[in-house]
Amino acid sequence: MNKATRTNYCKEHFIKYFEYRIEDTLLKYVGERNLKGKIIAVATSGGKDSTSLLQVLSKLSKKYEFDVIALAVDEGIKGYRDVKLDFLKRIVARLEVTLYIESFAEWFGRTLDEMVMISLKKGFEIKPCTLCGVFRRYILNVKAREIGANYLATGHNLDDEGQVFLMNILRGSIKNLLRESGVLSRRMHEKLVPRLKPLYFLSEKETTVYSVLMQILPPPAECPYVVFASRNFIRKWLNVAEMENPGIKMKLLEVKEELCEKLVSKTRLEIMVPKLCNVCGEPSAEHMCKACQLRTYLGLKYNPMRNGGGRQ
Amino acid sequence: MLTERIEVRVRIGKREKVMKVKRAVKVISILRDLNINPVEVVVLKDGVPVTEEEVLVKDTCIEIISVVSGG
Repeated sequence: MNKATRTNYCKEHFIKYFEYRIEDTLLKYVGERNLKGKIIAVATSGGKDSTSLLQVLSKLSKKYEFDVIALAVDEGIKGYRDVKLDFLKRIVARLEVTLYIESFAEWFGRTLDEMVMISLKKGFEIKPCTLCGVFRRYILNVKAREIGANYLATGHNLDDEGQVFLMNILRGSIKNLLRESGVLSRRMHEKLVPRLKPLYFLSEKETTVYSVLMQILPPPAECPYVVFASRNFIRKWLNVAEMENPGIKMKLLEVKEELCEKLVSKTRLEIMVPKLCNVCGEPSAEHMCKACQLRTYLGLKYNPMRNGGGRQ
Repeated sequence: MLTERIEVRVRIGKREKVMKVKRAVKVISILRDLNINPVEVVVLKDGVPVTEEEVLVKDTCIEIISVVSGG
């Protein structure tokens, strides 16, 4: 049941509703003409959100004549990522989708587990989620560009968007608020593959129900670093608020959209255009990109063959 | 008989708990007893998702799965 809209669905209609929300989002924000002949790289983790997204996009790709490719990053989290990747391999085989797996070890010479140990020895100033997020985003963008993807689709859902919006507000980070995209990001640089979030209007709970009904619910494995995630408190708080006021997450998203639109219209967008990192040549808000900053901090070697090929 | 009690086996991950509850109890009452926010879970009965308003009338087994992604 969707409490906000007071709608009950049977299995068949829930699946239709879920898939229609994604299709509608794609048509509204990308458009049918901009889908035909294009390549959508789906950032897949083997979790329920990206797996559900892959399932639906794979189905829609036949209708709208676009290609779907799955991209996964193996951060090297023992006992977690290997379980999820095994599951993902079974799903892509069934969907007949090509899967690329890139690893932290190959790109940066260390697994995330090793990076966390180095960080611990240095006084643990950087949380595992920061390391993971920065390096993962870096790899996904470069790899998606390498394979000629027109869009990089991620499994970010209504809950994720609400949590990030609130975190940016609480941190007073207008710049991050501006940088956070809606369903489809603005192409600020030719080296940045536009980000697409087809699950933007669907909640975590709805995605879970869909993955149960489609029998694609991943095995229960929890990232050991989840306890360090700074959004845990916001997530709890937002879920309590949703329980007491059904529909509050969607309202929050509407406020975010309106606020961001107003902010963007009052901001000179050229200040948002990224520079190129002095070290690796990838788009960056500063002279050195976040990945190269973290790499330097951790004392990891620079691998120009893998890290975007160096500055051109 | 509404005062009759039934046995509900609740599975949460690898843990299992047996609860003696009043017959015709709603799923939401069980979640409240377990201090679980319904927004954060999906409840399965016989492997099928049910709403919090689902009424349990006989001895049964439900599974509670978290919707929160683990990374």
